[in-house]
Amino acid sequence: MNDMFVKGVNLGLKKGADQIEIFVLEGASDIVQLEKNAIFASESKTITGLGVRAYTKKGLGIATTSLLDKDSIKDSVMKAVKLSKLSPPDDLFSTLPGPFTNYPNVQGLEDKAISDLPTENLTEMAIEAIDSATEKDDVVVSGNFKRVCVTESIFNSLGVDVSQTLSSLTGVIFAKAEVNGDIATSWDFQKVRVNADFKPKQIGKVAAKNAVSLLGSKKIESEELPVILDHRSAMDTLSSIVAAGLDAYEVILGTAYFKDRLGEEITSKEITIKDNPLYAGGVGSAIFDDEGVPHKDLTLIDKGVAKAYFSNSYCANVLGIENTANAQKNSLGSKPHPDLTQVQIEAGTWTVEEMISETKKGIFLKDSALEPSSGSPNISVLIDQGFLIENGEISYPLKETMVGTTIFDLLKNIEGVSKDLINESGSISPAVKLSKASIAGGK
Amino acid sequence: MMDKTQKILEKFSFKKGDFADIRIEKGEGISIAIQNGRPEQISYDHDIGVGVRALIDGGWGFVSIVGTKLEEIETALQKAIKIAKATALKTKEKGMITEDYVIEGTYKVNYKNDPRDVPLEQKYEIVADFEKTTRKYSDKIVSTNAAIKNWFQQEIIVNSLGTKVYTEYSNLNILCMATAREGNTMQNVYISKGTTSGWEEIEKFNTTEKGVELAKRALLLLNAEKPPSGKMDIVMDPSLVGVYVHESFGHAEEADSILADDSILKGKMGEQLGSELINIYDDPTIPGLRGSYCYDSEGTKTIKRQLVKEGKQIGYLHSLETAAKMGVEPNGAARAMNFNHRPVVRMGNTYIDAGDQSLEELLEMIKNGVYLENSYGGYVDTAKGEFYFSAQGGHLIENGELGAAIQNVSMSGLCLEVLERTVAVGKDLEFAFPGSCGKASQWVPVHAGGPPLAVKQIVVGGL
Repeated sequence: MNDMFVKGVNLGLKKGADQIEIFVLEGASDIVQLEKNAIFASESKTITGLGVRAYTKKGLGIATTSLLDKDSIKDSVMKAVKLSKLSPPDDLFSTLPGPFTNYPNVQGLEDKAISDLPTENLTEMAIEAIDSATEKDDVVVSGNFKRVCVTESIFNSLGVDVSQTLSSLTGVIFAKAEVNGDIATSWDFQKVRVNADFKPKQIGKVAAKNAVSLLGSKKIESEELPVILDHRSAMDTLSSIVAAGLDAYEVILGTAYFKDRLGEEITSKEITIKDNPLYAGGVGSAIFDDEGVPHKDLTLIDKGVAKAYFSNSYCANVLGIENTANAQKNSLGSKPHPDLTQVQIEAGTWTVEEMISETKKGIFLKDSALEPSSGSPNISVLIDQGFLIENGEISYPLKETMVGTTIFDLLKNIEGVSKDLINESGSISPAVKLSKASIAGGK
Repeated sequence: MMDKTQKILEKFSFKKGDFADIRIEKGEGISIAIQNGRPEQISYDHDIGVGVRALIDGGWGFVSIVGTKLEEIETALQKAIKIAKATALKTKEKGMITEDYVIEGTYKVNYKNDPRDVPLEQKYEIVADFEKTTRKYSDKIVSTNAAIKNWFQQEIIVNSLGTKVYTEYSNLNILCMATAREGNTMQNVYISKGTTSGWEEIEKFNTTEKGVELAKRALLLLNAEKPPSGKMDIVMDPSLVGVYVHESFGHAEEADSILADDSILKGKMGEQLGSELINIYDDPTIPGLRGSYCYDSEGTKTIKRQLVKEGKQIGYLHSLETAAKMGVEPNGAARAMNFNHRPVVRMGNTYIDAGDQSLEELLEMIKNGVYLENSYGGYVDTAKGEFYFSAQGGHLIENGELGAAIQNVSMSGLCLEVLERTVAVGKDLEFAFPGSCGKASQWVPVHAGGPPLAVKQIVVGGL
């Protein structure tokens, strides 16, 4: 099979391309859909196709197809080369990456127990989650359980010829609790690369408990308050800020929040953030990025100081920085841009209990991201999994409440980082306390 | 191909209540993107594959394959039946399909000016003009991203009841995003146009004028005030109204959400939900909008659907299954993103119908509050009935007139409360939100809009 793709690369060169890359996905996913506390449907889907990237005189042409036969490969290569000749040059482009000889040995990317898992077992896992959710709590649950096994291969005209197989198991449960017309919803999820780490009962149980805990939500008045982000909230919030703030492509575009600020202290000294795709069994782990460049780990923020932009081959060449192997494609037809693989945030010195007990009045957020909105540094987010803290204790869940701040104020206002961490298959995070944010209440 | 596919179905025997359908899809498109004066990418996408569903003993199975080889389609059907049987053993609430609903039909896209015939160079020139006009307007415009994409898709849909449909769908989109920056202050805005009509719609779109308009908006917001925070009276522009009606009502009116006990509107058919000023429709038959189509992904011919009449809930959006379960006629709202997904109940073009008041009258009624304009999208929790969406910017309303500009901001509320608190409906209906709607991991093109709305006591999440 690989021979066909290598021939495709050679055909592209013969037709006049200066450089060419073929990115191939071959695999399948099985999905069990849940609705109203029962199995609703089962699906078996293909994950197959290829994307060709050809450069001629710095002009780029891309062609994709869902078919992997010889003729389709040939057609796609010819189309990509033709488009590359029609495209005006991108003067910033210098070269595709490669070749590479040393690739890291990343453990736990494919678990045969997942690749070979019979669909019936996936169904049983889903039923376990439903039973666990409804065992003690009066909830209605939906969601899905999914097994994916895909082989990703990359070939380019500079000699990159690599392949990796990744398998994963994902379970998501949404739960709805209702008492006398008061409705609360929540969820829980797990994504793992190791079958033994998958705990479907826990997904169901946690989703149901989360939903029940949000019953009786109340509106509050608008004021400025401290905000505690639980582990998942801290992970989602900080990784979204770093993802937009230190992206080398955004630096080129002029939109990175921390452009020209490497070496500056941008947040609390307690914050150290790494991107680590080498973590054994991590859901974001892989041997190489979407250009076939060997993965490595990278410190992005060290004790509050911005240390590095994350990049792909294009950005590294333009900015004259190291290629950190963070190229990721959103689809077969997209150009690979830098993105984070697996964020790991170091522990601080607080306990979550201390954060709460030392808060006279504040907000506790569960599994919620304070993400920048609309491509600006402004953050304006609905709290749909949050609680009011009063006199050092969690008091009641909130409704019609929003949090507003900016990413710069958020980073400046981090006053505590927890010493206990969650590790969700390689994504590692503490909880974080913000001294203040603007709260818009519905009361 | 249709007859050969039908013959595959005929090889299998389906007892009463069982069902299968085969959907063959071929799609192709070209997209061009330019960023900061550089060609970002020119790409050609080509998709061929088949989605096969089976409903056996009340259990659903779905299998997708790439390519259209008949023997592989047959194998996929066998597998879908096997999965469906296994599902049936575990399912508590049995699936069902309207037995007597058989459609035969053909729909072919009838372009005035076929976008596929427009030379690549001409398309590139238009995108380049849009991007350059925006970028060159000011040094404070630090980033621009303009793109055009046209997509053309053919589907054959056959089912075990005898439905045989050939349908085509196309869309054409142009957009430009601009980011203005001054130190730590950044504002990002965009203008887009989406249509299912031909190239003539792009020719009507003046990229030079629109580029200047976009740049001016970005610069205005750069120096705008921080948005206020708290509960206040608002006026939404047609773009925000589009997202509001799509998120708050459209999703809650999807019958699969009602059946899954996942909608705030369950059990409210015929009830007065709010202001008598409100009439809501979803209409995929309006020519040229992004959410317009003739046959849905189950082969059902779509129709205009009224969802809310004078504040009273009167209709849902249906697939073959939800219609069967609720004992009503299907209305052609089952859509799939592509062959790799099963059809689910979706909207097309959703809107609040026009009232009779001018924008000035709405502002006068609100007196002091916030005018929100140019949506950036949003989401809703249909079970709880709580929505959230964000605006690219807006203005303070002071003494009944538009005042100082404010930066991008989000708002939130409870769907039913907002309907109750709507105090005035503008007279100028505009489909101002060409978007993509996400549900069940599928994105489908939609359009939404309405006239400006005045609403009391909404939470605005300022900084």
